[in-house]
Amino acid sequence: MSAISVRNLVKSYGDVRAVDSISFDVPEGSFFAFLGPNGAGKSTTISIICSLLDHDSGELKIFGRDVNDPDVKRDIGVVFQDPMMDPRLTVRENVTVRGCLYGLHGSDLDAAVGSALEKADATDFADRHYGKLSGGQRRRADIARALVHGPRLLLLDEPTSGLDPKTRKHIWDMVMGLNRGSGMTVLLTTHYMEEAADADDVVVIDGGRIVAHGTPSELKEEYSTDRMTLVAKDADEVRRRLESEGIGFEESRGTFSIPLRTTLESASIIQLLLDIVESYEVRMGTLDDAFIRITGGQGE
Amino acid sequence: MNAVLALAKRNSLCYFRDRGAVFFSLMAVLIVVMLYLLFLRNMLIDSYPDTPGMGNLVDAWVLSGILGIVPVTTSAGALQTLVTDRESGRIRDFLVTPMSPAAFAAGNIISTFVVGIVMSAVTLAICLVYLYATGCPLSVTGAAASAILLIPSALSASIIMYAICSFIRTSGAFSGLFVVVSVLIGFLCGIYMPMGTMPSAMQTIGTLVPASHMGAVFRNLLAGEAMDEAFLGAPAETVDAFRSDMGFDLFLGGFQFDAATSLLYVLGITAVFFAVAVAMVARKR
Repeated sequence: MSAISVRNLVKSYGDVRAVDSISFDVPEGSFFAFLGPNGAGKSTTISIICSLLDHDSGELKIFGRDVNDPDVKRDIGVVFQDPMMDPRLTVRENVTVRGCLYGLHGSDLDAAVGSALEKADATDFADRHYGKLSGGQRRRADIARALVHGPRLLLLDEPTSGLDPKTRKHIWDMVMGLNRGSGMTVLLTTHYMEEAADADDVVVIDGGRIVAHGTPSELKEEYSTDRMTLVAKDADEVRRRLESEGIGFEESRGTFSIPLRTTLESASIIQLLLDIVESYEVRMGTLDDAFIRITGGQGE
Repeated sequence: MNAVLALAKRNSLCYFRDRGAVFFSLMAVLIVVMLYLLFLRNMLIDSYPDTPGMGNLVDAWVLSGILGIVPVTTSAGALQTLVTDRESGRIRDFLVTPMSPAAFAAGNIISTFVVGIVMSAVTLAICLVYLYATGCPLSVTGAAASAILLIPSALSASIIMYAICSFIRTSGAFSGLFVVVSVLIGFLCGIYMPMGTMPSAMQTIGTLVPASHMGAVFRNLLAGEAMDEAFLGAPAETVDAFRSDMGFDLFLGGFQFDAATSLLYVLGITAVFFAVAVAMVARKR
Protein backbone atom coordinates (compact mmCIF):
# COMPACT_ATOMS: atom_id res chain seq x y z
CA MET A 1 0.00 0.00 0.00
CA SER A 2 1.13 3.54 -0.68
CA ALA A 3 1.59 5.82 2.29
CA ILE A 4 0.59 8.74 0.10
CA SER A 5 -1.15 8.49 -3.21
CA VAL A 6 -1.76 11.70 -5.13
CA ARG A 7 -3.73 11.89 -8.37
CA ASN A 8 -4.15 15.08 -10.41
CA LEU A 9 -4.04 17.31 -7.37
CA VAL A 10 -4.96 20.93 -8.08
CA LYS A 11 -4.92 23.95 -5.80
CA SER A 12 -5.31 27.51 -7.03
CA TYR A 13 -5.09 30.85 -5.29
CA GLY A 14 -7.14 33.11 -7.52
CA ASP A 15 -5.54 32.85 -10.95
CA VAL A 16 -2.36 31.28 -9.68
CA ARG A 17 -2.19 27.50 -9.87
CA ALA A 18 0.05 26.77 -6.89
CA VAL A 19 -0.33 23.05 -7.44
CA ASP A 20 -1.10 22.17 -11.02
CA SER A 21 -2.34 18.63 -11.45
CA ILE A 22 0.41 16.64 -9.81
CA SER A 23 0.41 12.88 -9.26
CA PHE A 24 2.84 10.71 -7.33
CA ASP A 25 2.98 7.79 -4.94
CA VAL A 26 5.03 7.45 -1.80
CA PRO A 27 5.49 3.75 -1.03
CA GLU A 28 5.13 2.79 2.62
CA GLY A 29 8.47 2.80 4.40
CA SER A 30 10.23 4.88 1.80
CA PHE A 31 12.22 8.06 2.12
CA PHE A 32 10.79 10.59 -0.26
CA ALA A 33 12.29 13.97 -1.09
CA PHE A 34 10.27 16.80 -2.47
CA LEU A 35 12.46 19.32 -4.17
CA GLY A 36 11.92 22.66 -5.75
CA PRO A 37 12.84 26.30 -5.68
CA ASN A 38 10.97 28.59 -3.30
CA GLY A 39 7.39 29.15 -4.33
CA ALA A 40 7.31 25.96 -6.40
CA GLY A 41 4.30 24.58 -4.51
CA LYS A 42 6.10 22.31 -2.03
CA SER A 43 4.62 23.82 1.10
CA THR A 44 1.17 24.01 -0.46
CA THR A 45 1.32 20.29 -1.22
CA ILE A 46 2.49 19.51 2.33
CA SER A 47 -0.34 21.64 3.73
CA ILE A 48 -2.87 19.72 1.66
CA ILE A 49 -1.45 16.38 2.79
CA CYS A 50 -1.78 17.33 6.47
CA SER A 51 -5.28 18.74 5.80
CA LEU A 52 -4.47 22.34 6.63
CA LEU A 53 -5.64 23.30 3.14
CA ASP A 54 -8.45 21.96 1.01
CA HIS A 55 -7.59 21.04 -2.54
CA ASP A 56 -9.69 22.15 -5.49
CA SER A 57 -9.72 18.86 -7.35
CA GLY A 58 -7.94 15.57 -7.64
CA GLU A 59 -7.58 12.67 -5.25
CA LEU A 60 -5.35 12.33 -2.22
CA LYS A 61 -5.21 9.17 -0.15
CA ILE A 62 -3.12 8.60 2.97
CA PHE A 63 -2.63 4.90 3.75
CA GLY A 64 -5.64 4.19 1.55
CA ARG A 65 -7.96 6.64 3.31
CA ASP A 66 -9.25 9.92 1.97
CA VAL A 67 -7.29 12.87 3.34
CA ASN A 68 -10.43 14.34 4.93
CA ASP A 69 -10.99 11.26 7.08
CA PRO A 70 -10.30 12.61 10.61
CA ASP A 71 -8.38 9.46 11.56
CA VAL A 72 -5.77 10.27 8.94
CA LYS A 73 -4.41 12.96 11.25
CA ARG A 74 -3.33 10.29 13.73
CA ASP A 75 -1.10 8.72 11.10
CA ILE A 76 0.74 11.92 10.27
CA GLY A 77 3.44 13.73 12.21
CA VAL A 78 4.40 17.16 10.92
CA VAL A 79 7.56 19.17 11.42
CA PHE A 80 6.90 22.70 10.26
CA GLN A 81 9.50 25.06 8.95
CA ASP A 82 8.83 27.69 11.63
CA PRO A 83 8.92 27.15 15.38
CA MET A 84 5.45 26.09 16.50
CA MET A 85 5.73 25.47 20.21
CA ASP A 86 5.42 27.82 23.16
CA PRO A 87 8.64 29.57 24.16
CA ARG A 88 7.79 29.81 27.86
CA LEU A 89 6.89 26.15 28.23
CA THR A 90 9.51 23.44 28.53
CA VAL A 91 10.00 20.98 25.71
CA ARG A 92 8.40 18.25 27.81
CA GLU A 93 5.37 20.43 28.65
CA ASN A 94 4.95 21.35 25.00
CA VAL A 95 5.19 17.78 23.77
CA THR A 96 2.87 16.57 26.55
CA VAL A 97 0.19 19.09 25.60
CA ARG A 98 0.38 17.97 21.96
CA GLY A 99 0.17 14.33 23.06
CA CYS A 100 -3.08 15.12 24.93
CA LEU A 101 -4.54 16.64 21.79
CA TYR A 102 -4.17 13.25 20.11
CA GLY A 103 -6.14 11.67 22.95
CA LEU A 104 -3.21 10.24 24.91
CA HIS A 105 -3.45 10.35 28.69
CA GLY A 106 -2.08 8.97 31.95
CA SER A 107 0.89 6.63 31.85
CA ASP A 108 0.48 6.07 28.08
CA LEU A 109 1.04 9.77 27.59
CA ASP A 110 4.14 9.87 29.80
CA ALA A 111 5.57 6.86 28.00
CA ALA A 112 4.82 8.33 24.58
CA VAL A 113 6.42 11.66 25.50
CA GLY A 114 9.49 9.92 26.92
CA SER A 115 9.91 7.73 23.87
CA ALA A 116 9.40 10.61 21.41
CA LEU A 117 11.99 12.73 23.23
CA GLU A 118 14.41 9.83 23.16
CA LYS A 119 13.93 9.07 19.46
CA ALA A 120 14.49 12.73 18.63
CA ASP A 121 17.52 12.89 20.92
CA ALA A 122 15.85 15.67 22.89
CA THR A 123 15.97 14.17 26.39
CA ASP A 124 18.96 16.28 27.51
CA PHE A 125 17.11 19.54 27.21
CA ALA A 126 13.55 18.27 27.77
CA ASP A 127 13.09 20.43 30.85
CA ARG A 128 14.37 23.65 29.35
CA HIS A 129 12.12 26.32 27.90
CA TYR A 130 11.54 25.87 24.18
CA GLY A 131 12.28 29.56 23.57
CA LYS A 132 15.78 29.18 25.03
CA LEU A 133 16.92 26.36 22.76
CA SER A 134 19.48 26.60 19.97
CA GLY A 135 18.33 26.09 16.39
CA GLY A 136 19.37 22.44 16.31
CA GLN A 137 17.83 21.63 19.69
CA ARG A 138 14.62 23.32 18.67
CA ARG A 139 14.46 21.22 15.55
CA ARG A 140 14.95 18.06 17.61
CA ALA A 141 12.17 19.20 19.94
CA ASP A 142 9.94 19.77 16.88
CA ILE A 143 10.68 16.24 15.71
CA ALA A 144 9.86 14.87 19.17
CA ARG A 145 6.52 16.69 19.00
CA ALA A 146 5.83 15.22 15.55
CA LEU A 147 6.55 11.70 16.87
CA VAL A 148 4.56 11.88 20.12
CA HIS A 149 1.44 10.15 18.81
CA GLY A 150 3.36 7.43 16.97
CA PRO A 151 2.62 8.45 13.38
CA ARG A 152 3.35 6.14 10.43
CA LEU A 153 4.15 9.04 8.15
CA LEU A 154 6.50 11.88 9.00
CA LEU A 155 6.28 15.11 6.99
CA LEU A 156 9.10 17.61 7.31
CA ASP A 157 9.02 21.00 5.66
CA GLU A 158 12.63 22.04 5.10
CA PRO A 159 13.83 20.51 8.35
CA THR A 160 17.42 21.58 7.88
CA SER A 161 17.02 25.15 6.65
CA GLY A 162 18.87 27.70 8.73
CA LEU A 163 21.03 25.13 10.53
CA ASP A 164 24.81 24.94 10.52
CA PRO A 165 26.33 22.04 8.52
CA LYS A 166 27.13 19.88 11.54
CA THR A 167 23.64 20.22 13.04
CA ARG A 168 22.16 19.67 9.61
CA LYS A 169 23.90 16.36 9.32
CA HIS A 170 22.82 15.37 12.82
CA ILE A 171 19.16 16.11 12.05
CA TRP A 172 19.47 14.41 8.71
CA ASP A 173 20.98 11.25 10.19
CA MET A 174 18.24 11.14 12.82
CA VAL A 175 15.46 11.39 10.24
CA MET A 176 17.25 8.81 8.12
CA GLY A 177 17.46 6.56 11.18
CA LEU A 178 13.73 6.86 11.84
CA ASN A 179 13.11 5.74 8.29
CA ARG A 180 15.71 2.98 8.01
CA GLY A 181 15.43 1.84 11.61
CA SER A 182 11.72 1.79 12.32
CA GLY A 183 10.32 1.80 8.80
CA MET A 184 8.55 5.12 9.18
CA THR A 185 7.61 6.68 5.86
CA VAL A 186 9.33 10.05 5.49
CA LEU A 187 8.43 12.80 3.09
CA LEU A 188 10.47 15.95 3.27
CA THR A 189 10.97 19.08 1.31
CA THR A 190 14.36 20.61 0.88
CA HIS A 191 16.30 22.80 -1.44
CA TYR A 192 19.60 21.26 -0.47
CA MET A 193 20.29 18.90 -3.33
CA GLU A 194 23.00 16.92 -1.59
CA GLU A 195 20.46 15.89 1.05
CA ALA A 196 18.15 14.42 -1.53
CA ALA A 197 21.00 12.14 -2.63
CA ASP A 198 20.11 9.70 0.17
CA ALA A 199 16.42 9.56 -0.66
CA ASP A 200 14.72 6.56 -2.27
CA ASP A 201 12.76 8.78 -4.54
CA VAL A 202 12.98 12.40 -5.58
CA VAL A 203 10.24 14.55 -7.03
CA VAL A 204 11.24 17.92 -8.41
CA ILE A 205 8.43 20.41 -8.54
CA ASP A 206 8.51 23.78 -10.22
CA GLY A 207 5.69 26.18 -10.95
CA GLY A 208 3.23 23.76 -9.35
CA ARG A 209 4.10 20.92 -11.72
CA ILE A 210 6.28 17.86 -11.37
CA VAL A 211 9.19 18.43 -13.70
CA ALA A 212 11.23 15.37 -12.80
CA HIS A 213 10.74 12.20 -10.80
CA GLY A 214 13.15 9.36 -10.12
CA THR A 215 15.83 8.00 -7.86
CA PRO A 216 18.76 10.33 -7.23
CA SER A 217 21.00 8.34 -9.59
CA GLU A 218 18.36 8.32 -12.32
CA LEU A 219 18.05 12.10 -12.07
CA LYS A 220 21.80 12.52 -12.13
CA GLU A 221 22.05 10.23 -15.11
CA GLU A 222 19.38 12.04 -17.03
CA TYR A 223 19.95 15.67 -16.17
CA SER A 224 23.54 16.22 -15.21
CA THR A 225 26.66 16.01 -17.34
CA ASP A 226 30.18 15.04 -16.43
CA ARG A 227 32.56 17.81 -17.21
CA MET A 228 36.24 18.38 -17.74
CA THR A 229 37.88 21.67 -16.86
CA LEU A 230 41.37 22.53 -18.04
CA VAL A 231 43.71 25.47 -17.74
CA ALA A 232 45.60 26.10 -20.97
CA LYS A 233 49.26 27.08 -21.41
CA ASP A 234 48.44 28.18 -24.92
CA ALA A 235 44.78 29.08 -25.18
CA ASP A 236 44.81 29.74 -28.93
CA GLU A 237 46.32 26.34 -29.67
CA VAL A 238 43.89 24.54 -27.34
CA ARG A 239 40.99 26.30 -29.03
CA ARG A 240 42.31 25.39 -32.48
CA ARG A 241 42.82 21.70 -31.68
CA LEU A 242 39.41 21.33 -29.96
CA GLU A 243 37.66 23.02 -32.88
CA SER A 244 39.44 20.85 -35.45
CA GLU A 245 38.34 17.71 -33.54
CA GLY A 246 34.78 19.03 -33.31
CA ILE A 247 34.68 18.98 -29.49
CA GLY A 248 32.26 21.45 -27.92
CA PHE A 249 33.62 23.68 -25.14
CA GLU A 250 33.11 26.88 -23.22
CA GLU A 251 36.02 29.19 -22.61
CA SER A 252 36.58 31.77 -19.97
CA ARG A 253 39.95 33.51 -19.44
CA GLY A 254 42.13 30.62 -20.48
CA THR A 255 40.01 28.03 -18.71
CA PHE A 256 38.14 25.56 -20.89
CA SER A 257 35.08 23.65 -19.80
CA ILE A 258 34.19 20.60 -21.87
CA PRO A 259 31.00 18.56 -21.36
CA LEU A 260 31.61 14.80 -21.45
CA ARG A 261 29.31 11.88 -22.14
CA THR A 262 31.31 9.79 -19.70
CA THR A 263 34.33 10.62 -17.58
CA LEU A 264 36.38 8.13 -19.67
CA GLU A 265 36.11 10.46 -22.64
CA SER A 266 38.52 12.78 -20.88
CA ALA A 267 41.42 10.39 -21.54
CA SER A 268 41.43 10.94 -25.29
CA ILE A 269 41.02 14.68 -24.93
CA ILE A 270 43.94 14.97 -22.54
CA GLN A 271 46.10 12.96 -24.91
CA LEU A 272 45.23 15.42 -27.62
CA LEU A 273 46.17 18.43 -25.50
CA LEU A 274 48.77 17.06 -23.08
CA ASP A 275 51.64 19.35 -24.20
CA ILE A 276 49.70 22.62 -24.05
CA VAL A 277 47.73 22.17 -20.81
CA GLU A 278 48.74 23.51 -17.41
CA SER A 279 46.32 21.40 -15.31
CA TYR A 280 42.98 19.69 -15.62
CA GLU A 281 40.11 18.34 -13.59
CA VAL A 282 37.36 15.84 -14.39
CA ARG A 283 34.14 16.12 -12.40
CA MET A 284 31.15 13.78 -12.32
CA GLY A 285 27.74 15.42 -12.69
CA THR A 286 26.10 16.23 -9.37
CA LEU A 287 22.52 16.36 -8.23
CA ASP A 288 22.97 20.11 -7.95
CA ASP A 289 23.67 20.30 -11.68
CA ALA A 290 20.62 18.17 -12.30
CA PHE A 291 18.46 20.40 -10.11
CA ILE A 292 19.61 23.55 -11.85
CA ARG A 293 19.08 21.94 -15.25
CA ILE A 294 15.60 20.75 -14.29
CA THR A 295 14.38 24.00 -12.81
CA GLY A 296 15.98 26.11 -15.50
CA GLY A 297 18.46 27.66 -13.10
CA GLN A 298 15.82 29.90 -11.58
CA GLY A 299 16.06 28.51 -8.09
CA GLU A 300 17.92 30.01 -5.20
CA MET B 1 -6.21 14.81 30.90
CA ASN B 2 -8.40 15.31 27.89
CA ALA B 3 -7.60 17.47 24.91
CA VAL B 4 -9.80 20.43 25.87
CA LEU B 5 -8.31 20.69 29.35
CA ALA B 6 -4.79 20.20 28.01
CA LEU B 7 -5.24 23.13 25.65
CA ALA B 8 -6.78 25.21 28.47
CA LYS B 9 -3.83 24.42 30.71
CA ARG B 10 -1.36 25.31 27.96
CA ASN B 11 -3.03 28.69 27.33
CA SER B 12 -3.19 29.51 31.04
CA LEU B 13 0.50 28.64 31.47
CA CYS B 14 1.39 30.81 28.47
CA TYR B 15 -0.35 33.75 30.16
CA PHE B 16 0.89 33.28 33.71
CA ARG B 17 4.49 32.68 32.62
CA ASP B 18 4.51 35.89 30.59
CA ARG B 19 5.03 38.45 33.35
CA GLY B 20 4.63 41.29 30.87
CA ALA B 21 1.22 40.00 29.78
CA VAL B 22 0.08 39.69 33.40
CA PHE B 23 1.33 43.19 34.23
CA PHE B 24 -0.29 44.85 31.24
CA SER B 25 -3.57 43.05 31.76
CA LEU B 26 -3.65 44.71 35.20
CA MET B 27 -2.79 48.12 33.75
CA ALA B 28 -6.36 49.39 34.04
CA VAL B 29 -6.35 48.39 37.70
CA LEU B 30 -3.08 50.20 38.33
CA ILE B 31 -4.45 53.33 36.67
CA VAL B 32 -7.53 53.20 38.88
CA VAL B 33 -5.46 52.71 42.01
CA MET B 34 -3.19 55.61 41.10
CA LEU B 35 -6.01 58.00 40.22
CA TYR B 36 -7.79 57.01 43.37
CA LEU B 37 -4.85 57.51 45.67
CA LEU B 38 -3.74 60.74 43.98
CA PHE B 39 -6.99 62.63 44.19
CA LEU B 40 -10.25 60.70 43.81
CA ARG B 41 -10.19 59.42 47.39
CA ASN B 42 -9.76 62.83 48.97
CA MET B 43 -12.24 64.40 46.61
CA LEU B 44 -14.91 61.87 47.55
CA ILE B 45 -14.24 62.13 51.28
CA ASP B 46 -14.35 65.95 51.11
CA SER B 47 -17.67 65.96 49.30
CA TYR B 48 -19.33 64.17 52.22
CA PRO B 49 -18.21 66.16 55.28
CA ASP B 50 -19.51 65.18 58.69
CA THR B 51 -19.83 61.57 57.55
CA PRO B 52 -17.72 59.27 59.76
CA GLY B 53 -16.13 56.21 58.18
CA MET B 54 -16.21 57.76 54.71
CA GLY B 55 -12.60 56.65 54.11
CA ASN B 56 -13.54 53.01 54.66
CA LEU B 57 -16.62 53.37 52.52
CA VAL B 58 -14.86 54.82 49.46
CA ASP B 59 -12.03 52.28 49.83
CA ALA B 60 -14.56 49.46 49.75
CA TRP B 61 -16.33 51.21 46.88
CA VAL B 62 -13.27 51.48 44.64
CA LEU B 63 -12.06 47.96 45.42
CA SER B 64 -15.48 46.51 44.52
CA GLY B 65 -15.38 48.35 41.23
CA ILE B 66 -11.90 47.00 40.52
CA LEU B 67 -13.15 43.51 41.26
CA GLY B 68 -15.75 44.05 38.54
CA ILE B 69 -13.19 44.93 35.83
CA VAL B 70 -10.32 42.57 36.69
CA PRO B 71 -11.84 39.56 34.88
CA VAL B 72 -12.44 41.72 31.79
CA THR B 73 -8.89 42.98 31.40
CA THR B 74 -7.22 39.70 32.44
CA SER B 75 -9.44 37.70 30.06
CA ALA B 76 -8.31 39.99 27.30
CA GLY B 77 -4.70 39.43 28.35
CA ALA B 78 -5.18 35.66 28.29
CA LEU B 79 -6.65 35.80 24.79
CA GLN B 80 -3.42 37.24 23.50
CA THR B 81 -2.14 33.66 23.21
CA LEU B 82 -4.97 32.80 20.83
CA VAL B 83 -4.44 35.89 18.70
CA THR B 84 -0.69 35.23 18.53
CA ASP B 85 -1.33 31.60 17.58
CA ARG B 86 -3.48 32.76 14.70
CA GLU B 87 -1.16 35.47 13.48
CA SER B 88 2.08 33.50 13.70
CA GLY B 89 0.51 30.42 12.13
CA ARG B 90 1.27 28.38 15.25
CA ILE B 91 -2.38 27.46 15.20
CA ARG B 92 -1.43 25.01 12.41
CA ASP B 93 0.26 22.84 14.99
CA PHE B 94 -3.17 22.38 16.61
CA LEU B 95 -5.08 22.09 13.36
CA VAL B 96 -3.04 19.03 12.33
CA THR B 97 -4.26 17.20 15.44
CA PRO B 98 -7.61 15.37 15.46
CA MET B 99 -9.05 18.02 17.80
CA SER B 100 -12.39 19.42 16.55
CA PRO B 101 -12.91 23.18 16.11
CA ALA B 102 -15.53 23.11 18.88
CA ALA B 103 -13.08 21.45 21.28
CA PHE B 104 -10.45 23.99 20.28
CA ALA B 105 -12.84 26.87 21.05
CA ALA B 106 -13.87 25.26 24.33
CA GLY B 107 -10.23 24.96 25.40
CA ASN B 108 -9.65 28.62 24.64
CA ILE B 109 -12.76 29.76 26.51
CA ILE B 110 -11.92 27.62 29.52
CA SER B 111 -8.38 29.00 29.77
CA THR B 112 -9.71 32.54 29.47
CA PHE B 113 -12.18 31.77 32.24
CA VAL B 114 -9.47 30.21 34.41
CA VAL B 115 -7.24 33.26 34.05
CA GLY B 116 -10.20 35.56 34.80
CA ILE B 117 -11.27 33.69 37.90
CA VAL B 118 -7.77 33.17 39.31
CA MET B 119 -6.93 36.86 38.90
CA SER B 120 -10.34 37.86 40.36
CA ALA B 121 -9.87 35.56 43.32
CA VAL B 122 -6.45 37.05 44.03
CA THR B 123 -7.95 40.53 43.74
CA LEU B 124 -10.80 39.64 46.09
CA ALA B 125 -8.35 38.21 48.63
CA ILE B 126 -6.24 41.38 48.52
CA CYS B 127 -9.37 43.55 48.87
CA LEU B 128 -10.65 41.62 51.87
CA VAL B 129 -7.28 41.64 53.61
CA TYR B 130 -6.89 45.38 53.00
CA LEU B 131 -10.42 46.25 54.12
CA TYR B 132 -10.15 44.06 57.19
CA ALA B 133 -6.77 45.52 58.10
CA THR B 134 -8.05 49.09 57.78
CA GLY B 135 -11.03 48.33 59.99
CA CYS B 136 -13.68 48.59 57.30
CA PRO B 137 -16.94 46.98 58.42
CA LEU B 138 -17.56 43.84 56.39
CA SER B 139 -20.17 41.13 56.49
CA VAL B 140 -19.12 37.50 56.21
CA THR B 141 -22.10 36.73 53.98
CA GLY B 142 -21.17 39.65 51.71
CA ALA B 143 -17.62 38.36 51.35
CA ALA B 144 -18.78 34.78 50.77
CA ALA B 145 -21.40 35.85 48.21
CA SER B 146 -18.75 37.92 46.40
CA ALA B 147 -16.51 34.88 46.21
CA ILE B 148 -19.30 32.82 44.65
CA LEU B 149 -20.23 35.59 42.22
CA LEU B 150 -16.69 35.63 40.87
CA ILE B 151 -17.84 32.63 38.80
CA PRO B 152 -20.54 34.40 36.74
CA SER B 153 -18.34 37.49 36.65
CA ALA B 154 -15.34 35.66 35.14
CA LEU B 155 -17.55 33.49 32.92
CA SER B 156 -19.28 36.45 31.32
CA ALA B 157 -16.03 38.40 30.89
CA SER B 158 -14.25 35.44 29.27
CA ILE B 159 -17.07 34.58 26.88
CA ILE B 160 -17.65 38.18 25.83
CA MET B 161 -13.94 38.86 25.31
CA TYR B 162 -13.52 35.55 23.46
CA ALA B 163 -16.38 36.41 21.10
CA ILE B 164 -14.89 39.83 20.38
CA CYS B 165 -11.43 38.35 19.83
CA SER B 166 -12.75 35.83 17.34
CA PHE B 167 -13.02 38.75 14.90
CA ILE B 168 -9.41 39.76 15.46
CA ARG B 169 -6.67 38.45 13.21
CA THR B 170 -3.53 40.44 14.04
CA SER B 171 -1.58 41.38 17.14
CA GLY B 172 -1.77 45.00 16.07
CA ALA B 173 -5.55 44.97 16.09
CA PHE B 174 -5.50 43.08 19.36
CA SER B 175 -3.22 45.63 21.06
CA GLY B 176 -5.54 48.38 19.88
CA LEU B 177 -8.57 46.62 21.28
CA PHE B 178 -6.74 45.88 24.48
CA VAL B 179 -5.83 49.53 25.07
CA VAL B 180 -9.37 50.68 24.30
CA VAL B 181 -10.87 48.11 26.66
CA SER B 182 -8.38 48.91 29.42
CA VAL B 183 -9.03 52.64 29.21
CA LEU B 184 -12.78 52.58 28.64
CA ILE B 185 -13.73 49.93 31.14
CA GLY B 186 -12.73 52.12 34.09
CA PHE B 187 -14.92 54.94 32.81
CA LEU B 188 -17.86 52.82 31.73
CA CYS B 189 -18.05 51.01 35.04
CA GLY B 190 -17.94 54.29 36.96
CA ILE B 191 -14.59 53.74 38.69
CA TYR B 192 -12.40 56.55 37.36
CA MET B 193 -15.22 58.84 38.35
CA PRO B 194 -18.50 57.96 40.04
CA MET B 195 -21.46 57.09 37.80
CA GLY B 196 -23.44 60.11 39.02
CA THR B 197 -20.83 62.63 37.87
CA MET B 198 -20.93 61.41 34.25
CA PRO B 199 -23.28 62.83 31.58
CA SER B 200 -26.49 60.83 31.32
CA ALA B 201 -25.63 59.35 27.91
CA MET B 202 -22.38 57.98 29.34
CA GLN B 203 -24.32 56.61 32.30
CA THR B 204 -26.64 54.75 29.94
CA ILE B 205 -23.75 53.31 27.94
CA GLY B 206 -21.96 52.38 31.15
CA THR B 207 -25.04 50.63 32.45
CA LEU B 208 -25.18 48.51 29.29
CA VAL B 209 -21.74 47.09 30.07
CA PRO B 210 -22.08 43.82 32.02
CA ALA B 211 -18.99 44.56 34.13
CA SER B 212 -20.79 47.63 35.56
CA HIS B 213 -23.48 45.33 36.90
CA MET B 214 -20.95 43.02 38.48
CA GLY B 215 -19.31 46.12 39.99
CA ALA B 216 -22.64 47.28 41.42
CA VAL B 217 -23.35 43.85 42.89
CA PHE B 218 -19.88 43.70 44.45
CA ARG B 219 -20.28 47.23 45.86
CA ASN B 220 -23.47 46.25 47.63
CA LEU B 221 -21.89 43.10 49.02
CA LEU B 222 -18.51 44.52 50.06
CA ALA B 223 -19.25 48.19 50.77
CA GLY B 224 -22.83 47.77 52.03
CA GLU B 225 -21.87 47.46 55.69
CA ALA B 226 -19.56 50.46 55.52
CA MET B 227 -22.33 52.48 53.90
CA ASP B 228 -24.90 51.53 56.51
CA GLU B 229 -22.48 52.56 59.21
CA ALA B 230 -21.45 55.85 57.57
CA PHE B 231 -25.03 56.91 56.85
CA LEU B 232 -26.50 55.68 60.15
CA GLY B 233 -29.44 57.94 60.93
CA ALA B 234 -29.08 59.93 57.71
CA PRO B 235 -32.22 60.83 55.77
CA ALA B 236 -33.32 58.29 53.15
CA GLU B 237 -32.89 60.82 50.29
CA THR B 238 -29.21 61.29 51.16
CA VAL B 239 -28.62 57.55 51.12
CA ASP B 240 -30.53 57.07 47.86
CA ALA B 241 -28.62 59.89 46.19
CA PHE B 242 -25.32 58.39 47.31
CA ARG B 243 -26.35 54.94 46.09
CA SER B 244 -27.20 56.10 42.60
CA ASP B 245 -24.29 58.58 42.35
CA MET B 246 -21.73 55.98 43.33
CA GLY B 247 -23.19 53.19 41.23
CA PHE B 248 -24.63 51.00 43.95
CA ASP B 249 -27.96 51.26 42.16
CA LEU B 250 -28.04 51.18 38.38
CA PHE B 251 -30.87 52.57 36.29
CA LEU B 252 -31.77 52.04 32.68
CA GLY B 253 -34.59 54.31 31.57
CA GLY B 254 -36.90 54.17 34.57
CA PHE B 255 -35.90 50.65 35.52
CA GLN B 256 -33.87 50.08 38.65
CA PHE B 257 -31.69 46.97 38.76
CA ASP B 258 -31.28 44.91 41.89
CA ALA B 259 -28.77 42.09 42.38
CA ALA B 260 -31.01 39.47 40.75
CA THR B 261 -31.93 41.52 37.67
CA SER B 262 -28.31 42.64 37.28
CA LEU B 263 -27.12 39.03 37.26
CA LEU B 264 -29.88 38.08 34.83
CA TYR B 265 -28.84 40.92 32.57
CA VAL B 266 -25.18 39.82 32.70
CA LEU B 267 -26.06 36.23 31.90
CA GLY B 268 -28.39 37.31 29.08
CA ILE B 269 -25.69 39.42 27.41
CA THR B 270 -23.21 36.60 27.92
CA ALA B 271 -25.58 34.19 26.17
CA VAL B 272 -25.76 36.53 23.17
CA PHE B 273 -21.98 36.71 22.91
CA PHE B 274 -21.76 32.95 23.37
CA ALA B 275 -24.03 32.55 20.34
CA VAL B 276 -21.74 34.90 18.38
CA ALA B 277 -18.70 32.86 19.40
CA VAL B 278 -20.39 29.59 18.38
CA ALA B 279 -21.39 31.11 15.04
CA MET B 280 -17.79 32.20 14.43
CA VAL B 281 -16.46 28.72 15.23
CA ALA B 282 -19.08 27.11 12.97
CA ARG B 283 -18.36 29.55 10.14
CA LYS B 284 -14.67 28.69 10.13
CA ARG B 285 -15.36 25.05 9.46
